[in-house]
Amino acid sequence: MSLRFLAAEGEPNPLLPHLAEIVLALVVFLILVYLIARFVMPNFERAFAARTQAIEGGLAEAERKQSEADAQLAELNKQLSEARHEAARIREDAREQGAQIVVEMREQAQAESARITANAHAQIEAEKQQVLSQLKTEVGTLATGLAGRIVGESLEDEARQRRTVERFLAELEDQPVGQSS
Amino acid sequence: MAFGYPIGGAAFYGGVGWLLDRWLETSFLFPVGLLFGIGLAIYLLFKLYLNAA
Amino acid sequence: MSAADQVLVAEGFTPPGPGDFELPAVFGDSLLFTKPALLLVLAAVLVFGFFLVTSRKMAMVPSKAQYAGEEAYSFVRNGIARDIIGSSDFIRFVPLLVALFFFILINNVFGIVPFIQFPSFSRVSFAYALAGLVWVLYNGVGIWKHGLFGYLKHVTVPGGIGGPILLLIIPLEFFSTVIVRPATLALRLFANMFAGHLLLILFTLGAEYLVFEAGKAAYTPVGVLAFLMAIAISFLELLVQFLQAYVFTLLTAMYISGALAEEH
Repeated sequence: MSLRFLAAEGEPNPLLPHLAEIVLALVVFLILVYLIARFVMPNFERAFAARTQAIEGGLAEAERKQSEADAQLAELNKQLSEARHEAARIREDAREQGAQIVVEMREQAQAESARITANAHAQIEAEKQQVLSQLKTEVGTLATGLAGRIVGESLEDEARQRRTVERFLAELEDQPVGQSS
Repeated sequence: MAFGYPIGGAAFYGGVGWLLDRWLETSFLFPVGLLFGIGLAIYLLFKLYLNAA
Repeated sequence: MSAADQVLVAEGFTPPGPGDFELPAVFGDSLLFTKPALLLVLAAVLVFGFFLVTSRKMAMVPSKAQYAGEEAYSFVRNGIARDIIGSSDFIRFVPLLVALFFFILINNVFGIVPFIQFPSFSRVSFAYALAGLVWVLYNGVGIWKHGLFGYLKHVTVPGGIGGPILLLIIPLEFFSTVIVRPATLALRLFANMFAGHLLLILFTLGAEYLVFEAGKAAYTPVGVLAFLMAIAISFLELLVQFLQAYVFTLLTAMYISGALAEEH
């Protein structure tokens, strides 16, 4: 319209609008706005929202895990120190008990050995007494027997005397010791 | 934004001056109107920026 | 520069002008099939295609493509919409602002893309269309929020100023908010693209003319220099193209934010 009119006149006025161009620009631009609002913006906004949420959620999750781990560590440390105390206490007890047992055993052993020794002494003494008393009676009997024989045989010769004594001794040997005549 | 005030002032008061010139058959009111409009715009800008500060 | 130009004009160089922006229709006579119109559609397809591809499969840990899409989307979503409008209301305006920024950016960058080399917004109608849309939007948002008279009061009566001078200021405020804003928004974008493209045409056509057509060997080095300047200006243009897209989107967000604000 005004284009050809002005062109015929010489230089066109660049500030004069053309209605067709204005309508075209409006239509093209409004379609572009609609397409962006309908097909582009929702995708971007959804992604941004998801990302924001993921970051915030991730942070909260990490914080929760951290505090959980802290609590667990504290709990473990507490249990560990408790266990250490327990072990130390048990060790201490055991040592005390062991020492006590050693002392007791030693006392017991000493008492036992003392008792055994005393028993042995007593038995030996008793046996000695028994032997002595037996010996005394035996010696008496023997002496009387021997004296009787010596006198009865009328002391012929020295040889006979020697034989008699030897026989006596042999008899003596044949007799069991503990048996009184 | 601030750029618009002097142009608006010059356009409006210059226009008023030009119309008065045609009505009263004078020729000095158009430039007077232009200058008045620009001056008024500068005054307004001062006021607004002092208020904002 | 200008002295050299005048010499060249005298010898038959035609400097580029607004006529270079009136491109013929691609098919037949239709105004809807001109190069700028096709570029506008191509830009919309590219923007939507990029975001569709990068946002189709969203994963918690993004791929390279998804990362690029997310960064681009977040740049406008967080860097412009959320920072300017505030976290309670911004989300409704995100599609508009994202579309606005990347649509303008791609259209602007077309100005230096080889074989395309035309910034669509050097056609003023396109800039008017977007600025008009923004104007309807922020005024609509303000009226929806404060009611018609509440919004008019919100727009025209600045806080902290009273007395008779208010009578002089109310029309000024109304003018600068309701009329100047969309005009500057459209013209800033248009003028930057128009001037940048004109500058590029001037340097490249000038270089071509000086080297091949002026017919004097002494002009050749100047022509080469002009061509190097054209390359440097292309990179400067890239910065301007980005900044204009950013400023347009930023100002849109600020106007929306201003319309939603409780007090001045």
